[in-house]
Amino acid sequence: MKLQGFTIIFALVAIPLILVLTYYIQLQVNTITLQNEYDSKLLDATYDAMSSFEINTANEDLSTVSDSLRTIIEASNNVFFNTLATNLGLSNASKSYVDPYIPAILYTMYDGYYISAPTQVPEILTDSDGNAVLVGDVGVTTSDGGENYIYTDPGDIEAMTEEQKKNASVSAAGHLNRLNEAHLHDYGQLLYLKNSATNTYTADISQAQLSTKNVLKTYMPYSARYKNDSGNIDITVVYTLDNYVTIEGIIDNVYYTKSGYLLPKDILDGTSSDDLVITSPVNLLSYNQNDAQSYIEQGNDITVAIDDISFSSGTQVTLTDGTVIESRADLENQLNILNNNLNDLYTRLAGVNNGTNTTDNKNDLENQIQNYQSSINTITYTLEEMSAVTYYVKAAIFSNWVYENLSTIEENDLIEISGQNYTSINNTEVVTHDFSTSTRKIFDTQDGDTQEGITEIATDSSFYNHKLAVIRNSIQYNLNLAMSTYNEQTSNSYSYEMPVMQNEEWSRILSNVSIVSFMQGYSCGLKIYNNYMVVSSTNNEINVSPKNIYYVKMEDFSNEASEYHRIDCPDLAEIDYGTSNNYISFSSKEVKYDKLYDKNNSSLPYSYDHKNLACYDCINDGNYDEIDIFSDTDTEEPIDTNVPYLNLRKAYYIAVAKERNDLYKMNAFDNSEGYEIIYDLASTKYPDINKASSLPINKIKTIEIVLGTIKTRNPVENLRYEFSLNGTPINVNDTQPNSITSNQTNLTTLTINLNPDSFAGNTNTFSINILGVTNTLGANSTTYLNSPDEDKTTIPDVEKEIFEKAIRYIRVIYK
Amino acid sequence: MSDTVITIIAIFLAAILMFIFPLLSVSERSDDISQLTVQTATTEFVDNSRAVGKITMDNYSDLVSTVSATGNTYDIEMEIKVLDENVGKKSAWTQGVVIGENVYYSIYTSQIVEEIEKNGSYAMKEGDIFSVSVKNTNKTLSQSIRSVFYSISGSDIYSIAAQHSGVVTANGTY
Repeated sequence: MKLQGFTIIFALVAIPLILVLTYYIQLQVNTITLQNEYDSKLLDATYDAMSSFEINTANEDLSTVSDSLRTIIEASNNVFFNTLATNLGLSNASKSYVDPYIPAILYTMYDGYYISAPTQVPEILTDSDGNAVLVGDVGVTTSDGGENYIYTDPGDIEAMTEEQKKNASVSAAGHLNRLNEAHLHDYGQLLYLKNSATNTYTADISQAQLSTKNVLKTYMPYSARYKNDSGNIDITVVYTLDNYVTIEGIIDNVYYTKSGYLLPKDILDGTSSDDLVITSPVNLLSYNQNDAQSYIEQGNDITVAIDDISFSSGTQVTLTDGTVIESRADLENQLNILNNNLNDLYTRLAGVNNGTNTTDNKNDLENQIQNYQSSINTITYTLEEMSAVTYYVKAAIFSNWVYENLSTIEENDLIEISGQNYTSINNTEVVTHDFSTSTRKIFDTQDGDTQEGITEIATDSSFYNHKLAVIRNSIQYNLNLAMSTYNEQTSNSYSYEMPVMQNEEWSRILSNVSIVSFMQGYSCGLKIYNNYMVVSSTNNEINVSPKNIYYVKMEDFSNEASEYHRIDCPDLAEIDYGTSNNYISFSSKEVKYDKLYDKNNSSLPYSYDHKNLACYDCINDGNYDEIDIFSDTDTEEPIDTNVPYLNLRKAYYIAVAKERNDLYKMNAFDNSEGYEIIYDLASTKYPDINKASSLPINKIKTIEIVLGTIKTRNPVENLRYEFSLNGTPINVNDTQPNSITSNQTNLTTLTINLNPDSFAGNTNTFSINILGVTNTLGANSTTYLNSPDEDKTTIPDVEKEIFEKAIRYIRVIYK
Repeated sequence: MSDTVITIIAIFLAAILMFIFPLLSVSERSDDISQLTVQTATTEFVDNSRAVGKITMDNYSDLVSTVSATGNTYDIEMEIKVLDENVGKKSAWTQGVVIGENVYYSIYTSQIVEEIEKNGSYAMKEGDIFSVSVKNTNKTLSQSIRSVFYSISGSDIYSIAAQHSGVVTANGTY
């Protein structure tokens, strides 16, 4: 063969190979490119969903209330699908096309999480207004006794006669006449589209046509239930993304419902000079949390000292007319008035500037604005201090209680996570942490050393590690369940499975409000797409992140010539001259979302509340040499005090506390307290009226006594009781009824509040025996009568006896 | 005589067909594979960085080593459009009136790399825009072979290029 022959043969062999190889590699390139594009689109859609969530929570006052939060999340869910569908080249209208490829979206909130997942739901019959149609409604008829129903839109029901209405419903020719015996109970039930039928409906859900819809499942709290071996403690703890904890359950016969912030144990014992010290005219730490809060908010002087700094509530503010105000209600009220006046002044100033206002003088207005702003700043700061004091006092009361009662609970006492039995989670899941063998104390807050300020629990402490393990287990279990349920139900041949997420991603999910979206089964070149994206939020209403709090000097607040900073910005330390500077703080979401646009008022295209400028080092750029404000050695030497950064440190402690105190918490209890039933006449469980309380009197907040009828010879006599414990008089709260009428048949609850100061040292237990009862209204003239043959006339001696006989129920409420 | 000419032409053709063409083809495939690697690495780098809000030394050196593993040299250009949180002002603040949206200013490769080398990471914040483009700077084999037949002049000649950008989704913690 000649050379040409070899060449041709070689070419014939090589060219197809090269062509196929080219084509194949090109396909691979396209697949990878497509996959990268999908990744970006998924991330962008998730980010859009998060933006929607942030904007809605920032602009909605009630965004933290659960119902409202749910609608916000549903809106965010919609935004996600809209963006994703648009990015994938589909229109909004056909977004349901992408639905099946999103097996789950996870929304982790402050104290729990939502999972949105496609679920099979029955098709419910609705009328033209979207209202559900029930059996018995006009328009619903049946010809086979209720086996199948037919619905025809009745039109204007108001215009129909009774006869017409009867004929157009199941009650033609008499009451439910069209329904046979087996279907009589269908009356009033929802109607579902019947399986594989059109226009035929059924009231039997098992025969209903199912369709896949994206459903936002119920809110799952980050909770765990613990029961110790001796059985005297059985509690459920709801954790949050930070140190806020809600505890509900029984400890030694007392049922507690408590919510509060947990402080590290070592700052509460008073052994170090840096420890938390609360100075108050009364023994505030022995108060109930809520009572302590109202005591502080009345404007009483309480000083909190910690880590070389101190601040106090109860600062009096003198108004221009000489009035002195100090309570929270007065301060807030005054702040509103000042803000309204300020807005008015700004409008007038705008008028002067554009020539429509000729009556005012520009300089006068500017001076007035300055004065108002200065008062606003003072009041704002006073309120911040009050919030911060409230936070530390309440947190200290709560933490003391936790360490006193629950420090023995270990991880192996855990029996449920988010309502799910732990043994079933442990057996079916690859758990990240096995609780059943661990003896780690769950409320151990002292180990670990990564902390920002001594009031924060270290993020590597046992408490945090345990909390994160609980949350992670809960999310993993339920997310996995949601995905595998969808996998069971779907007709799609792709197998939906929960991917294993990296630790770094978990730490992002567990430290901030986040959205995690999963996309699986979407065709992507040579392979099937399967990935997920995590987006965390730093600007929202429902979580406080200390890193995203900004600070500005009190006198410079809302001054356009000054900047706001992060706490560790060197520029802030630079301007921190003088010995006592006060700082006003606000969270990042406030500057991000406070631009208001008023369409109807063209002279005010945007109003912007925060007039301070963002620092170009720490806020706009974010790359700077951060200073350590907790360090006791001055390495940066910006100021000339012996212990540096005291002002900044104080600002930080106030800011974090204030932000947390003012946050609305969804799963929290309004009243943190515990109760124990002493006696219940109607129940055999609490038969002994003389039973002593489990805890001493100094732990008691209130005694509730429910009284039945007190008989007197006269038909109506007024009785007013006063009480004492072992001779010490109890101040009955005047707003509670302690006056009752005799011979009435309804029950009266007497609420006896124990003054925490009077009984602080009383360690005896309470029982009805030590309760002194006096009727202060005509004790001697009233003639008591217990039974017809029992005419009591020697009143003072038997007053207690008569009172006791009328008792139906005794309950002790603990602090 | 004519036979000799044809033989020479045939040998010439055979040489092209048997050596140059396969070589060109294979080297182009090799560029495609490099392209694949570079594109993937770039996208991952950008998406990772914008999801966490910071460019870390780890991610950056990952990108550099992945692209250099293709045997070429690359020019990695980064740009961050930093969102200026200060709103545009019409005149004095006393009017309480603000116009215009927030603006962006840019930070480029050398500034970013300097910061990364100094602190280990470069922080970005939510709303910033991060973009990266990667181009080869050497002449790849396929480019050399192709230039035997035809040449494209100009300074900006590259056969492997990847580009990706996006909005930063979280405030980075430095």
